[in-house]
Amino acid sequence: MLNELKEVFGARYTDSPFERRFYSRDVAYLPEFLISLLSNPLPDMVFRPLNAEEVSRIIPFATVENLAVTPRAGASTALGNSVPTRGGIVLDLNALKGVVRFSASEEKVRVLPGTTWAELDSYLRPRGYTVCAYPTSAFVATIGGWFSVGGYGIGSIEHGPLVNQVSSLEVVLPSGEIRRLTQESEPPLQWFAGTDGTLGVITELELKVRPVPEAMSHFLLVGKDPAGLIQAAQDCLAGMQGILHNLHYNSKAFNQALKSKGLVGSEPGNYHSLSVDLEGTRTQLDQGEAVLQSIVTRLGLRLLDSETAREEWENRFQSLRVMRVHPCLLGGELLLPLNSLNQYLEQLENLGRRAGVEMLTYGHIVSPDKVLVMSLYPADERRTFRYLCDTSLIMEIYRLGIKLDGVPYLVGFWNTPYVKDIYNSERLAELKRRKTLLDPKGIMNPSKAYRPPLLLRPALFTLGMKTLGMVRQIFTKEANRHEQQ
Amino acid sequence: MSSNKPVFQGLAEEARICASCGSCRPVCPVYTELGWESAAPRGRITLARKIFVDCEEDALSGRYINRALQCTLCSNCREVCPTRIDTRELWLVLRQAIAARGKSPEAFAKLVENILQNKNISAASNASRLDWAEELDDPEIFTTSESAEVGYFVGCLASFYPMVAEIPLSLVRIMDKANIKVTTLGTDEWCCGFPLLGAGYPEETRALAEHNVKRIQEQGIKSLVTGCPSCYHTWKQHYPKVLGKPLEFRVFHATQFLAHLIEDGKLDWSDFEELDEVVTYHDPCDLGRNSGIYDAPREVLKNIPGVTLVEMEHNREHALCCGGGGNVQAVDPGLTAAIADRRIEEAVRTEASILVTACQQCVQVLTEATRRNKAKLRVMDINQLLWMGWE
Ligand SMILES: Cc1cc2nc3c(=O)[nH]c(=O)nc-3n(C[C@H](O)[C@H](O)[C@H](O)COP(=O)(O)OP(=O)(O)OC[C@H]3O[C@@H](n4cnc5c(N)ncnc54)[C@H](O)[C@@H]3O)c2cc1C
Repeated sequence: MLNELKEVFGARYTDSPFERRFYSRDVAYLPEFLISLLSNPLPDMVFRPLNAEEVSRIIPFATVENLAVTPRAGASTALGNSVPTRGGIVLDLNALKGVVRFSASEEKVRVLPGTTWAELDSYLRPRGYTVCAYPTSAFVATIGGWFSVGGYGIGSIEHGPLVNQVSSLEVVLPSGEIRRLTQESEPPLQWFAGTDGTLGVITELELKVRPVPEAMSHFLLVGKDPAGLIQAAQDCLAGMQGILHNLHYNSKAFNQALKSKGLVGSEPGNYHSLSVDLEGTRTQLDQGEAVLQSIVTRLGLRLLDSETAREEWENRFQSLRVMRVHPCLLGGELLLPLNSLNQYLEQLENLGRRAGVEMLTYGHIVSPDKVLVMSLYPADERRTFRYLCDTSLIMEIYRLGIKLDGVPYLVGFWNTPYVKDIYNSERLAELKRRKTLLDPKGIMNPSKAYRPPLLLRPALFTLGMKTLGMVRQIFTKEANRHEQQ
Repeated sequence: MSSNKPVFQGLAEEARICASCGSCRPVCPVYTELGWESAAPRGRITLARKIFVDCEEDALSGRYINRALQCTLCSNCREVCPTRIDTRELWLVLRQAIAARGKSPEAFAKLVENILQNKNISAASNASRLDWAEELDDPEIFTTSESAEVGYFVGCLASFYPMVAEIPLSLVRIMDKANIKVTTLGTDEWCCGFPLLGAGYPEETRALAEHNVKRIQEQGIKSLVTGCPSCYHTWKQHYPKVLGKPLEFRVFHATQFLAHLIEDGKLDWSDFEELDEVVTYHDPCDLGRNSGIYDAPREVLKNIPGVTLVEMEHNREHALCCGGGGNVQAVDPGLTAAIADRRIEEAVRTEASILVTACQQCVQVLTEATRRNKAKLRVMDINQLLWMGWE
């Protein structure tokens, strides 16, 4: 069977040890020994299919051979989502790229899953259309990849998560069957949203697009503390419906870090900031600006000049430039009630102070009441043991967010210890039922999304992290003592 | 205002800074053709990290070196890198590290040896540098290395490769038309050293730079013009660095020079025969992304009577590479061909009759691709297109 597949795939198949190594990681940097302790990230082979038929030829082979199948697209996630956990097959889906059909009258596009958001948008724009929402990793993130994870990003305030914009999917099920699913089909396409490719491989998506708005305007508000900006965000959400495209918060520490390398100017470099990006007709934008001006005045905030605001918008894909300041960062991302953000930031600062690290935070407001908040702190991956100890803070960030009714964003592999926090018990049971129904042999992206492997089970994991946290405290005390001397 | 400039602080530092986010992947012409993670910029940097941060020398394997050299130095990855890594510099320094360990491929070793010996990239003697000028009414004007305010640095490709010989001829004829007295370095012109940089031997360019600059100064040249974007880039960016001082004369790419001639009304259009051509323009990587010159060629094209410019889907900062850069042709000609085919496909979609560019290497690579694809498209340099109206 493998020989047949090798013949079909030719140069699009590899089992070369050199090549496979590149498929054993994603964005996150983790010591190899740690990954190997918990999983086997090195695939045995990689296929690069060109269409659903080719995918459906691989699945029966995997089933017969009991090989895990890991779909991989942009691999721009950081939780091991698209990294194998028990070797097997990586399906590199990046060659499934391009627009299949675009209908301006229906405002819909059918697209292959390996198309990036930037590619789709540059196809649509010259035709007068644009995507409804996209992740800030748009240059690498694929349509299929974003659908398979959280699906929240820029534009979500108005359009909701990606699943709301998708009207049909073509998937290859673990049975090898190629199915077209809709919101009403059996199973419905929603099953495949945010489930990390554990139920099948998406080979085509149909999604809603929209005409390019007449105009956009950008504003950047700054304040000495986050509370006023959060209030401003809430007021914008209440008073600018229909034109509010993006609301993005940066903590003062994050802005200051950027400023230290000239990556933002002194303003907003010394403040907490909130970007407010509007779109609509010129008249709507004028009205929006007036509303915003009154919010700013009422809350005693400051509005920076339009060029700085525009620059901030243009840098929306560039949050990673903070790595120029700290080449190694650890952190956690939470979906948090917007109401809790202020409290979260206060407690996070305390946590950072106790732990002797500066917490750098930014957040996208993704719905009228939710913010996707990312908190990062510097570490040094070259000092392996210390680095390992530093990872213990991620759990503390999550615990803090969970206490405030937040949930870790995305599951993948590394967040499986938190599945019970992310889903309530009925939801988790339902997800497991679907998995058993569609993938009884458990070959699709195993150890992701539902159940942690033994060493990541909450009790063991928490114990491990607490131990590392305690060792970390010793490091911190030592460092403080040195500093005092 | 904040700084958007790409930065390079050293191989190990930048390899650590790389977030492995993969934004570089879809825009990389090599990854687009090969499709493997190892061929993507982030893949190359991942292993560079192993070698230069984790000091795993074994990772510098033949397979890896092959991947490191399968890069056209087009800088598309630099344009999108959210961590602002000057990736072009990174690839060059990576090649230096490979060379320093004596692990460069045979093809590079030969290239370097040839340049150092012959002072040009061809197998021919440097004495034949001006053979292309034989076609001129008065070829003598260049053989004497006369002094003049304007000097023409012809470049190795234009000097030695008959396929692109029309380009220097057109340029000097246009200059003549504009009553510009121009001289060359004659057979004393040495390779600018660009291929040595691409092969990882920057130190070896010093002698070439010193020689070329000295000759320019001896001839009293005030403005140096070159039709080759790679020579231009080397003169503008590398020479001041390697010589440790700014150049005392101005350096222009031919497109900038032509744009000035047009703007200053130096060209007499009265006997110009309108062309009636729809053209599309291919931005050479070393002229566009690597030197920031996008407008000058477009200005020239817009001013040529009877020429209509239509843009390709990927243009200016986002232009696709032709595949001919980074010495890739020397190590993997098939890859160059595949990349060029994709560019031709895009040019054909514009329905233009002529694909114009401003680089001898692009002309060569794209012409071959047009033939291979039997595309109904003529490829020419901007100088040739302009001269056509007076021919
Ligand atoms: C700088 C930066 C900014 C980011 N911003 C955001 C953001 O705003 N919002 C956000 O949600 N995320 C964000 N992310 C995380 C990530 O980039 C996105 O979630 C992205 O959409 C993932 O897509 P991908 O193509 O990289 O998928 P991958 O990482 O390759 O895969 C993600 C998951 O989907 C599965 N998968 C991929 N394709 C398919 C398919 N066709 N069929 C079945 N399963 C599949 C994989 O197995 C894996 O489980 C960001 C990341 C970075 C580095």
